[in-house]
Formats: sequence, C-alpha cells, structure tokens
Amino acid sequence: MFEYLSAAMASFLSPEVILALMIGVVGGMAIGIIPGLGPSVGIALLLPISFSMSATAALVMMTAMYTTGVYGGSITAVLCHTPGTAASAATTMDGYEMTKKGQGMEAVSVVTVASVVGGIIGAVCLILFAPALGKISLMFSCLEYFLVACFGILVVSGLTGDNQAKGIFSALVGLLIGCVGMDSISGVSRFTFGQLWLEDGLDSTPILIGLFSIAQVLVLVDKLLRGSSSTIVEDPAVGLKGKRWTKGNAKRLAPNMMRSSIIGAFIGFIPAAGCSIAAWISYSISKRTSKHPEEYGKGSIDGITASEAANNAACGGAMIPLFTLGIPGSPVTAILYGALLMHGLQPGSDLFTGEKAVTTYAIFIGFLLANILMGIIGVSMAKQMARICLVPNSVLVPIIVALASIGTYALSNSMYEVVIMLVFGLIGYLMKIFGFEPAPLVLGVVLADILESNFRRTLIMAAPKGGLVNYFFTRPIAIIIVLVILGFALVPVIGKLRKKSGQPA
Amino acid sequence: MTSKFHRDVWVGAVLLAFCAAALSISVNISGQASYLPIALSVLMAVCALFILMKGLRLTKEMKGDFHYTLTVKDSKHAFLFMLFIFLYYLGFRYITYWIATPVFMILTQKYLKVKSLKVNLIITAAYIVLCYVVFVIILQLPIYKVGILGRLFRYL
Repeated sequence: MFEYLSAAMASFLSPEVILALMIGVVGGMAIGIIPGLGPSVGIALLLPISFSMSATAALVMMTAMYTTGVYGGSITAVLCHTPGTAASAATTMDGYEMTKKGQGMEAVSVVTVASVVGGIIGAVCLILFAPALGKISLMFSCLEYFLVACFGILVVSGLTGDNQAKGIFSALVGLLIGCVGMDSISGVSRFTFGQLWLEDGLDSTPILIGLFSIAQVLVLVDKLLRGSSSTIVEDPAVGLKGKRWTKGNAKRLAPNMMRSSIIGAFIGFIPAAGCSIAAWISYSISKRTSKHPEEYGKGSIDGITASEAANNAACGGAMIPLFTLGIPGSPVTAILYGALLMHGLQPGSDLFTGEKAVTTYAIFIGFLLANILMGIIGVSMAKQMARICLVPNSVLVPIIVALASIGTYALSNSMYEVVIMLVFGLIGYLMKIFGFEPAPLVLGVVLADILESNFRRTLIMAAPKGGLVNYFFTRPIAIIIVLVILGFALVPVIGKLRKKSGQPA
Repeated sequence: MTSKFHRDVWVGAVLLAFCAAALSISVNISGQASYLPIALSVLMAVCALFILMKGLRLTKEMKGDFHYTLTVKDSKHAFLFMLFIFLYYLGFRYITYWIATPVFMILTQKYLKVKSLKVNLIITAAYIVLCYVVFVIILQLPIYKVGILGRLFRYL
C-alpha cells in the first residue's frame, strides 16, 4: 500500500491534477453555497469537461467537489438560515442562532474546522479500510457481481421518499434504457427501432446531465417565476461579526469533533444513509451526551460541531463501498460511479492493484487534500465565499443550460447526445412532478450492462454444475449478499407492519 | 375527473400502458437477448400496479383533498422554458453555438427578470469568452462543424 501511496503522491506534481483539485474545491464550495444547486448538479456538469482529462485529475476534481459542496452548503445555513444542501439542515438550527447573537464569524470558523476534521477522518478511513474491503471482492465471481449490482440498485431505489415502488420503477426503467443497442453477447439489436445511432446504446452521461442539471434548471425557473425562489437577497457577509475563535474552543470541541467524525464515517459507509442522516444522528447523540442539552437549538457551538464533522466524514465513508464493491449509497455516489466507469475504473479489487492502484490512491489523497484546502479557503475567504449566494438563479439558469449543451456535445462531438440530454431533462422534470427520483434511473443505466453480462455468464458457469440454484448454494459469499439484500428489503416492511399492529384500531 | 382520484392512480395506469408497450417489443427480440427486457417489463408492471394501488388507497384516505408540491398545470413556466431550450438547441444545431448562446442568454436573463441590461451583457460576454477559451482553445472541440455559421468561429 505504501509504495502505491508514494507513487500516488507524485501525481500531485502534475499541474493538471493541481488545477483540477483547485477547480473541484472552489467550484464545490460555490455550488454548495448556492441554494437549489448542489454537488450532484456540479459533478454532472463537470463530467463532460473531465472527459479529456486523465482519470486521476477528473476524479480528484469530482470527489473534491463532493466534500466541499457539503461544506459550502453550511455557510448559508449559518448566515442566512438557508442550507445550501440537505446535509447542512442540522447546522441551520444552531448556526443561525449564533449569527443572530452576533457570533456569525465564530460559527463559520467552527463549521470550517469541524468540516475539515470530519473530512480528514473520512479520508483516512477511506485510505485505511477501502483496500482491505477491496480484497473481499477478489473472492467474487460473476454471480456475486450480479448480486452486488442488484443490491446497489435496491439501495438507491430506497432513497425515494415514502413510495418505494416509484424508486424501484425508476431503477427498472434505467435498466431497460441500458438495454438499448446491440446486445454485447449475442449481437442482437434491442429497442433501436432501425436507428443506426442507437446501435451503440445510450451513453449514461447525457442522461445524467439531463436528469440532474436540466431538470433542476426547470425547477429553479418555475420557483423564480412563481416568486418562491430561495435566492438570498441580503448580504450574508453582514452576519460575519464577532471574534473568529474563542480561546479554549479547540480543547472543548475536540472530543465531540472526533466522536462525530467517526459516527459520520460509519454512517456514510452504510448504503442509503448519506450525509444528512449522519449529521442528524450525530447532532442527536451530541445533544444526548451533552452536559447542557438545553443549549441545543439556541446557538450551541457543540451542535454545529457535531453535525458538520459528521456530514463531511460521511462523504469519505460513502466512497468506501463505492470504490470497493461498486455500491453507491447516494445520488452523488451514483454519479461518481458513472464517472469511474467513464474513465475505465471498474470498482472492485482491480482498483487496488497494479497501475490502477496508483490512480485510486491519488484520488484518495486528492480527497484528503481537498478537505485541507477547503479549510484554508473557508477561513481566509469566508466573506467572499458567502457572497456567492447573492448570485441570482436568473443568471445561473442560462449558464447551466449553455454549459450543459456544449459539455454534452463535447462527449462525442455529436448533437444526438444533446437531444438525449434535453429529452431526459424533460423526463427528469416530469419525474420530479410525479414524485420519482432520478438517481435510481441513472444507476440503472450505468449498471445495466454489468448486471446483464454477469447474470448471463453466471448462467453459463452454472450449467455444468447442476443449474443456477445448485451453483448458488456452493457460493457462501453469494448467500451472504442475498441475506443482506433480503434484510435491507424486508427490515422497513417489518418495521411498517409492527408500527401498524401497534396502532390502536 | 382528476379531483376524484389521487394522481398516482393515473400515473400507475399510464406506466402500465408503457410496460405493455415495452413487453410487446421485448417478446419480439430473438434469443437470450430478450430475457432481461421481458423480465424488466414484467417487474415494471408489478411496480406500476403497486403505484396504482397506493394511489387508490390515498384516494380513499384523502377523500379528494389532494395536495401536490408540483403539478403539470402549475408548471407552465418550466414547460415554456423547455421550449426556449429547444429553440436554443435548434439555433445551436443549425446556426452556431457562438450566436445561439448569447441570444439565448440575453433573452432568458431578461425573461427571468435580470433587471440590468449591463449586467446581462457582461455575464453573457464573460461566459462566451471563457467558454471559447476552455472548449475551443484548450480542449480543441471541433464545434465549428455544427451550424452553417460555425466555420466563422474556427480557431486556427
């Protein structure tokens, strides 16, 4: 591992990687600060630009945008009572109360330090635990890869509000879209309707840009013109008052920061949990264990420490199952999955051996550096960064459309891709209207080929061993994965049934 | 009609029709290549049924008092903007990106109530210059091939 780490560090001598890291950090903070946007929109827009970059530079930029986007959202949460992303919602409660008391500068400083500490601990967990977990995937055959793909889809389908059928339906449509084109094993054309340009299938990137960027643009336009936009009009930098740091804060907050970071990294690792759940759980634990729980919600510095350390640590935790087993636990990691495949990086043990290991460790080190850089920029340029939220959505909307169009064209110098992006932009908006999530659809498209080819190879391998069922019972890891899938699918159902039976008639 | 049933009932019915269409196409695919599309169509139909059934349950529970955060009826601004994006696409496709984009940006910023024309023009010009530097000069994107006036903006 250490030889890979030292080789990976050498990647950061390349100006391309350094520039990508800077763009990722600054761009992520900016897009996180602007309410209505978030890391998923930012990463989707970066995908086509990253196409011509090296895999290291591209993934360093995107993972940097992921963690700094979560941090950026906290600045407006503290100063304007408007969380830039859902992950910062817990910070709003105490952060804004501190700003009202004239302690805005201290609140932003604490948010920054906690985010940096949480991010670093998340990155360290990623560097230490991902290779070990990656070794498990060495024991995988086609059957296990097929089951893991099914698990990934199930996890992301579960992100859809209270109607899981809609989430699963989205994922299945994604898989069906992934079937478009020539079948990779038999060469038979599927759903091409005689169109030659459909023979190669639909690329997931224009679909992803349409579903995340164009659909979000339409939501913003609707809010803007109906007068319900969350654009901030008052200068948030005004709230940056008071001293930057109270003496003794470091000693007082360190245990809370460490505990919350570890909780955050662990929750991030659990598929479908994500940054916002990590922040809320950590906040709740911090309140329960505090000597002054009555201060929570009224401007408690411990409250913002807990939520901020946890949400940034969760980013690192969420990347462990993504890189090792190919299980994305959130919309952002589903997009990152697509980005990994686009750059020829198939999650699994391959990423931790040979030449690819250097790229993988470079991405991890980039993620660590992004957290440190985020702290430096956050502390030194808090006022300037906070003012980014003053940029009105009416200015951002045309820029996003124009950038998405040229970026999509750049993917393969084809206007067909732009049409696909626009069509999926409209579909994405309709999905939002009717309560469907776009993330499962994207993951379905990304995983369709992996899922189908592994299943059909499994059928071929199982034939001489007495069929699929007999073969399945000779694979203990496959049995464990099926049990995990069943547990994941049935626990919420059992919970609901128990809740129902507990209710009075 | 729509006030009688929760909209998930209609959504479920439309999705069932979509599944039927997907299934009819899937069964005509030859060999093993049809297995996954058929399986997906059937599973999708099951999910569509669940959506429809939940819609019926909600219809019964809510007794016509339905509240939706977003509706097609209230989204006329979004659909109109989608039309603008489509017109922008036509401009990009048949004229050139470097003319269609400034026109689109200036008009849509105006439509989205950016009051200052000066701000509007500065943002548009800054975007175009930055975009040209990144995509044409650095990434050497052959975008001059798109649109009848594209060649006027060729770099080198």
